[in-house]
Amino acid sequence: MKKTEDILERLKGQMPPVPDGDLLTESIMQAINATTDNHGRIVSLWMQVIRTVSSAAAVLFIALFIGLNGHKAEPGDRTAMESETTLRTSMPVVTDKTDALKAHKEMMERRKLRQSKQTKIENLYAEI
Amino acid sequence: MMVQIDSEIIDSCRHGNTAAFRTVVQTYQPMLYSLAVKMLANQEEAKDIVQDTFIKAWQSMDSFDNRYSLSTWLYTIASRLCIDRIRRLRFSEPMPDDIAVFHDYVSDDNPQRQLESSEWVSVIKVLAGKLSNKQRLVFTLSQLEGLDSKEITEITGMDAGQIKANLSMAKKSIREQLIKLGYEKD
Repeated sequence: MKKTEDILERLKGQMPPVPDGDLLTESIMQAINATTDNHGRIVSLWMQVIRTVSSAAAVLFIALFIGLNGHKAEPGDRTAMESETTLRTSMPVVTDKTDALKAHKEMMERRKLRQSKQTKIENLYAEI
Repeated sequence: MMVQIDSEIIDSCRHGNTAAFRTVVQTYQPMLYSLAVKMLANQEEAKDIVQDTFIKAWQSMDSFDNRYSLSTWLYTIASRLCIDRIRRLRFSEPMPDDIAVFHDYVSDDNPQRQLESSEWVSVIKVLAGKLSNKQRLVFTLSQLEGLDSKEITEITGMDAGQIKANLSMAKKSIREQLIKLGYEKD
């Protein structure tokens, strides 16, 4: 047992030198600064995640906003043209040929009806 | 081997003063590295443990109890991190190079010879490779770091009886290893 005790006694209290101790200190301090805000308060990991996610969401939202507003109406871009026409006239827009024909017929019928009413009134005046 | 630091520096750290915390890091880094490299027998893992210990300490500075010394508190954090890390690490058998380093140290006539960090890795692999986690922790704190029973109780939470039993079993295992290597007679 003596040899064991001798060896252990020689090892007791010895402190191994830290390889690249200064680099390790700097690395620790960088990690510490990364978890601390400008006022010296410790920022939790959750808070860091929330900040990163909200920043990314804000950038995405701005990009989406700019992208949508920068989109110009081109010939063939039916949806954009329709919306422009709607804004300008504030009237329903006829988009189909069948609808156009139907509307024309209705207009002609109304005109005929008006003309026949006019003729009747004129005939009545003539009789009087 | 406990080092003490001014209470004003601790208060500054509590108020988020990173410059004050740098002083803490510079003061206790060698102590924590010493513990970690002796526990893990791995220099890079030991550096990781030192860094993780300081980050954890910085983040929970408010929970530091002034009744204990800062070194005991840091030792406690580092010990727990080491035990967690040991569970994931596999200790390899000492290689012929490790045994050669150990032989070179033991046969050196100079009793004051200080081991380099890499030499410590070899010595620990030879001596403590067969120890359980608790035995290794008690052996490191008591025999290698030179802490007394009261400090070890504060760090590990073990009572004096458990410390004594674990230390006795650790020494027995080390002796068996030295018998196997021919340094000690059966």
